[in-house]
Amino acid sequence: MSAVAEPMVAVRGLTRTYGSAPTTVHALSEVSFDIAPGELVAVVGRSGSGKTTLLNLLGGLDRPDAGTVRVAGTEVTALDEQGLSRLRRDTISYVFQTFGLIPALTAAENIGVPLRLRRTPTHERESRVALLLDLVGLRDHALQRPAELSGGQQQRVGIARALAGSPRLLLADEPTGQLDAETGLAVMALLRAVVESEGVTAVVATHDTVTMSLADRVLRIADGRVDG
Amino acid sequence: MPRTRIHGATITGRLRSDLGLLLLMGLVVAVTVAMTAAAAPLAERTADRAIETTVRDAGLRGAVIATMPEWFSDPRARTRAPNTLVEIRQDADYAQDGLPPRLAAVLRPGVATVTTPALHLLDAGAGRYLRLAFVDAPDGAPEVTYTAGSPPRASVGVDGAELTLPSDAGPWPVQVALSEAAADALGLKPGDRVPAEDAQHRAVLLRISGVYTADDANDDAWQLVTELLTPSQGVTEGLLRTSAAALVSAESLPDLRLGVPDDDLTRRIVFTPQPPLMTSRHSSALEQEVVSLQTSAGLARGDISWDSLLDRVLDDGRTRVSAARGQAQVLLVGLLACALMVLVLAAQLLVRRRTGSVTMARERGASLLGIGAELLVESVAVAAAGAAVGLAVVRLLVGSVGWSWPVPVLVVAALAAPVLGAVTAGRAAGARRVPANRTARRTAARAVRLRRVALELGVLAVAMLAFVALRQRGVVGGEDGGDLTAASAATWWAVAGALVVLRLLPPAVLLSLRAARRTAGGIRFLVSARLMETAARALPLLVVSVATAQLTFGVALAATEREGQVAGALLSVGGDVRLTTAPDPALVGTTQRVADAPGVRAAASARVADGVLAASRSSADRVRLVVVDADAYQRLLDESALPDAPQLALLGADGGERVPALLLGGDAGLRDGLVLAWDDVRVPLDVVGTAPSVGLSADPVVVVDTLAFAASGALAQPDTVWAVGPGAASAVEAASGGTGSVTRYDDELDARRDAPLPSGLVRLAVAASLMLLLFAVLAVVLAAATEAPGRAESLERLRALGLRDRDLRRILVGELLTPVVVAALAGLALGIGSAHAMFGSLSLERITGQTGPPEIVVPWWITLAPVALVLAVLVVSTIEWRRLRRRVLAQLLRS
Ligand SMILES: Nc1ncnc2c1ncn2[C@@H]1O[C@H](COP(=O)(O)OP(=O)(O)OP(=O)(O)O)[C@@H](O)[C@H]1O
Ligand SMILES: [Mg+2]
Repeated sequence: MSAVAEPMVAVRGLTRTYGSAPTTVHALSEVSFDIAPGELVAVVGRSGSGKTTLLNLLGGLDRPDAGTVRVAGTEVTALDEQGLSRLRRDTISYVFQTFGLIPALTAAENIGVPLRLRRTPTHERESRVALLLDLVGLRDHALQRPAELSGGQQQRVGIARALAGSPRLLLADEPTGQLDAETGLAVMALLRAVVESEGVTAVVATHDTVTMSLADRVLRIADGRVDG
Repeated sequence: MPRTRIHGATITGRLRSDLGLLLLMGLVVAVTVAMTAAAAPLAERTADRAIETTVRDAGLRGAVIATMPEWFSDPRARTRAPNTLVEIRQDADYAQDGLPPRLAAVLRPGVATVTTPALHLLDAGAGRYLRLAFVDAPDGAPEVTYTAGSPPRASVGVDGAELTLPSDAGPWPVQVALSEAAADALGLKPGDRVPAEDAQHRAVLLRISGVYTADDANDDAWQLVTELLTPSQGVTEGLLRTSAAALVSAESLPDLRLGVPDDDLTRRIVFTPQPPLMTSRHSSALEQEVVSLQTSAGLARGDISWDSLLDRVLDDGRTRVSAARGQAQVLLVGLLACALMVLVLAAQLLVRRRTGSVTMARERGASLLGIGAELLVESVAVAAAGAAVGLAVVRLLVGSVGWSWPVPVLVVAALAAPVLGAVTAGRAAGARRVPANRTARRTAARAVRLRRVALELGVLAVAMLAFVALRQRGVVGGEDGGDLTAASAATWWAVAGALVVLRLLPPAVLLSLRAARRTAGGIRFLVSARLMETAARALPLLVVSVATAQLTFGVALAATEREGQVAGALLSVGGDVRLTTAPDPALVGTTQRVADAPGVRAAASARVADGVLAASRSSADRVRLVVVDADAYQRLLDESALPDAPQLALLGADGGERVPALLLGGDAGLRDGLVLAWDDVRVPLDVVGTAPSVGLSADPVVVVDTLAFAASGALAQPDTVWAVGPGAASAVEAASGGTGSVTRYDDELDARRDAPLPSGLVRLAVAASLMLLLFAVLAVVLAAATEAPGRAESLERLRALGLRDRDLRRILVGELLTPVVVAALAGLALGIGSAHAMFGSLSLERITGQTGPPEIVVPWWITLAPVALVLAVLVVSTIEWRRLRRRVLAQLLRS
């Protein structure tokens, strides 16, 4: 017990149903699993199997009907709104399928947004942004706005932004969904690389078999149940 | 499955889901339709009341007077004509028939008078004059009661009624009656036989039959010969002069004709107007009829000569009505423009909420026409319901409805949503066709930019055009005051200004973004980033700034006019208080007592006579003659807020033959060799300067000094006392001892403010301002609601990135508030700017009754309008913040 490191994510009996009596949808039922620190886990399953629902619950974007989620020792499911807000600022970050960049800001400025939200001093922010731009290979595109970047480049900005606040857990829901296969693979490879270099734990929901091959572990989800 | 037919279930379903918004649109339609539909009938009614008041206030100046040709009888053998009354009544009928029909319809039946000049009474002491007057009103002569003696009778028995006098016969006696005041003033009593003579020393013999009092001293008929009831006294060249008039009865009328030389008898038929029948619509036609009546054949051809100032009275009234109408239009145009923009905003919100269903319908193959038609059914229903409510309310409260103004409201209310819906659907379908090629995209973007620039230049050009039209033509004129181009200048100005601000906003936001770039904090930076996306949205900004500008303009208009009325009332009274009596030399003493009373800074007495004939070598006019102690009057002007008239000092100079005079108004030729006809005396004047506007005369004003005037041999007893100072009103009231009428400045101001045009304009300005404020608030709310989904999405994303609650609120407030504050402040500046640029062309002085444009007043509390808008934004952003902070972010990953 003492030798085993505490898991980064511990999920126990997680249940989420939508709707009421006759049309109840059991999006997740009694799901339990652990994810070790530094792991890149792919959550796969058919459309409607409950991947997004799971990621929402892990990140505290939604509340379960039953069960608990612990992330980095904090019981997410017990936090109030303020606690969740702090958790999102310090521990968990997201990569969106639709990138979600602010159109008026340059790539560099978009990456800096999470640091601004924590009022990181300007120098520190700028050096961190520069580092991340290097990391995602966008140094030459720092001053371009989202509309002037390709889809793959935009998602790389999205990943850099998710990493900017040095989170412990990175959640990505189909980060390559909007990209063609080749670009998607490149982005996944990048994610794989940065997860390693930054030492974060990542959970990536995907249908994509190539993505699965890059993951440390694959959580298969079907009809709201996890096996494997 | 292509669907072009209108789908009933879709419509009812949508109706239910957007009920609140549709109700709001209906309400905007109802309120705007009500306001605009009421405007025309209310304006018409106010105009009628204004014309009515103008004519009533004008009194006898508004009368139409027919002067009949001189009687002619054989001087060698004059015959008594017992049927003279019948003749006179026939004359009256003849004159009545000579009136143009429209004019005849608004005049009372004529009052016939036969008057003589003042006859000098010979054996009762010097300086006593008596005019003889016969007055025959259609409802009988003015009623009198005899307190002594009897009514004047015929000087012959029935059998001598038609006797003929030989040429060498002595004067024929005429029986006359005197009012008590006249009998006292002249020292005459019933039974007195009074020899008299006219200016040519022809003898007239009078017999006083009795002394009467008027049953109703206010009867209009007495106004025709005021000396019948109120004799006047004065001192000329050291001699006391008393003049009065004596009443001739129907029985003694043939004796008047026999006993007084024909050329001393003036026969007139006086038609006074019936003010309630005067309508604004017909005033111009009436004016034309009065003018042509006067220029028609006159005495020279042995026919009736017509005389009237009614045309001037009507013209004056009409100019004021037309000014007020123009000002009202300026306010209404702004209101209408804002209402239309708010309706478009509401339609935008409606379509935005339906983007999903509309786009889906299009994707399933529905035609744009079909989509539009579905939305049209709904908006027509909303517009019709709103209009019905608005019109019903107007019908109920006002009685009739003006149709032209509400039409644009209905058109926009019915068409905005379908058109926007079809455009949205078309765009959604066309989105896939966005050119993939970068140059093609750029070309498309450039086309959009060019279109915008063209639109803006168009607006600027129209604004310039409207402004020039206003400056050149003003708003007075046009039969129905219908110069919409000029009236829309203020609105266009505001729209153009708002467009300029819209242009400046993005660079300003960019500057702010740049400035925030190097800071650690995120709020200002993120607000600027949000504003980069949303601040360019034109319509809400446009509504807020145009509404604020028009509101400022309207409030400034009302405030300026109310403030201007203070000056106008002062000018009209001529001081803090004015006493008007019959001409009376005792007023000089009264004035002295008033001047010496505590709390009186200055007092002056004057004779103010209207309709005095003034002729020059090349021109002639009826003028207001003011005979005043120039020094005292100048002191009075100095001591009051009235404009000073330094040229009064020139009046005391010795002008030799001619009396120095100041002249205001009249045509240029009038100054040249001006001669006044005053009490049968010709007074030559030397115009040495410009007169102050004494009592706001519509006619030209001639001011002369009392002493200089008397020195020329003309007699003008004072009939007016002005005084200024805090104690002036009570001092004048005390000194007048109840005679004459006292006009206080305060009462005058109240009366002016309650007059139809100013009070109507103030009411309109207040109503329009409140509605504009409502529209501005609605614009803020609707715009916030329209953009809420997009804003929610980006703010949720920021929340997912760790945005604190507190910061969420600050970003929300910053994003919502900035454009509103900018637009409101711009509107405020634009409104004040257009007030300064345009008030000069709006003829405000017509309403304030000043001689020049009033000083522009912008009340400080107009800044409460932007404050109200800020509060509205704070409320909206608080509501939105509450909703956003509680919103579960579960949808975020799915979007
Ligand atoms: N707000 C909701 N209300 C009702 N049912 C919901 C809601 N959100 C999700 N569901 C249902 O829950 C189930 C799981 O949905 P979820 O979005 O998690 O699937 P997913 O695996 O992410 O699918 P996809 O691969 O298409 O993104 C689905 O059957 C879905 O219909
Ligand atoms: Mg999903």
